[in-house]
Amino acid sequence: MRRSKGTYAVPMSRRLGVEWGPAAWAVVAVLAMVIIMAIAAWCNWEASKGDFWRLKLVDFISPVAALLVGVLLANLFSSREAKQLHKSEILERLAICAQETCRAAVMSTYSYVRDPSRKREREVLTEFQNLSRAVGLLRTAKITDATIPYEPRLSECFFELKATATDSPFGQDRPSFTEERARRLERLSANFDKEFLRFRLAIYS
Amino acid sequence: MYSGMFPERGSRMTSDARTINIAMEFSSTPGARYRSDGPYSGEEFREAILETALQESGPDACVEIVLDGTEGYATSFLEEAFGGLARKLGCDVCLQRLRFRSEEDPLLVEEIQRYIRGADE
Repeated sequence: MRRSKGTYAVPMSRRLGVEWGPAAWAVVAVLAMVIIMAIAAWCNWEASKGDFWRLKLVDFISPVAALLVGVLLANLFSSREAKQLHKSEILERLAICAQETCRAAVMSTYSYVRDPSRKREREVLTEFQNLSRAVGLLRTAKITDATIPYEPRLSECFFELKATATDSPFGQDRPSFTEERARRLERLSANFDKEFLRFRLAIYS
Repeated sequence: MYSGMFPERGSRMTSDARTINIAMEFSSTPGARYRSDGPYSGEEFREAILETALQESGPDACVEIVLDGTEGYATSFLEEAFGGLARKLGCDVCLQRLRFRSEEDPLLVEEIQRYIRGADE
């Protein structure tokens, strides 16, 4: 499976949006704790009437403990989100690889139609075999990750595209593809492309 | 990964069930639909391997088909081999007696089952 330069990179805005959404809440929680600590410290200071030596050890420990808990919570939230983001990125890379394999399969079909040969015929079948494996993997990933709010039509699109590309007269000594079939191939490949985009968008929704 | 359907009532899936490994017993480069299209066609596979295996294994026994190890299958090959068999024997008999296995490409099993189901249409 091929991958063109830089196409799989997740846009920074989206990355920030996903990674910092819940993490921002954790930061807000930490800030709130710091403010509460400051108020508590000020109240203690007032209660001690400005005399430092009247403060007790617990007056120092409780704000530090609150800060520690806040930092731990923030760390927990952000690491969980980072893990989910990493998983989504891997899934998207897989989808992009599959999308590019699909384009490669369609391109090799076009070159076979223009100039049929046994070598090109094998190339087309190998590309479709790669595509089938990639779509199978994506479908499995979708099944295991129930958070993706999307019912993929990837396998349907794949079956239609493959049937249009590799059914008779494909593989004959002198195959002749009709104009109507070439248009159908183009339309199905565009649909498949659209389906891949829908899948990629659904990963981050 | 075993990707076939569960054996239905009345079918036998014994340990000595016939197994056809397409890459080993037929070709690692399966061809097109008819014999006239070139070597290793779906028609040739159906008549020479598949139907013979079904006849030899008895009326209710299952035949397991291993799909791995080839360089890809054309739709014309699969449709003629398995859809063609379903047109001869019936869709239900084919689904009942044929078990497909592919660890490399589980989607291929689903594709073949579609051709078998679509043979009646």
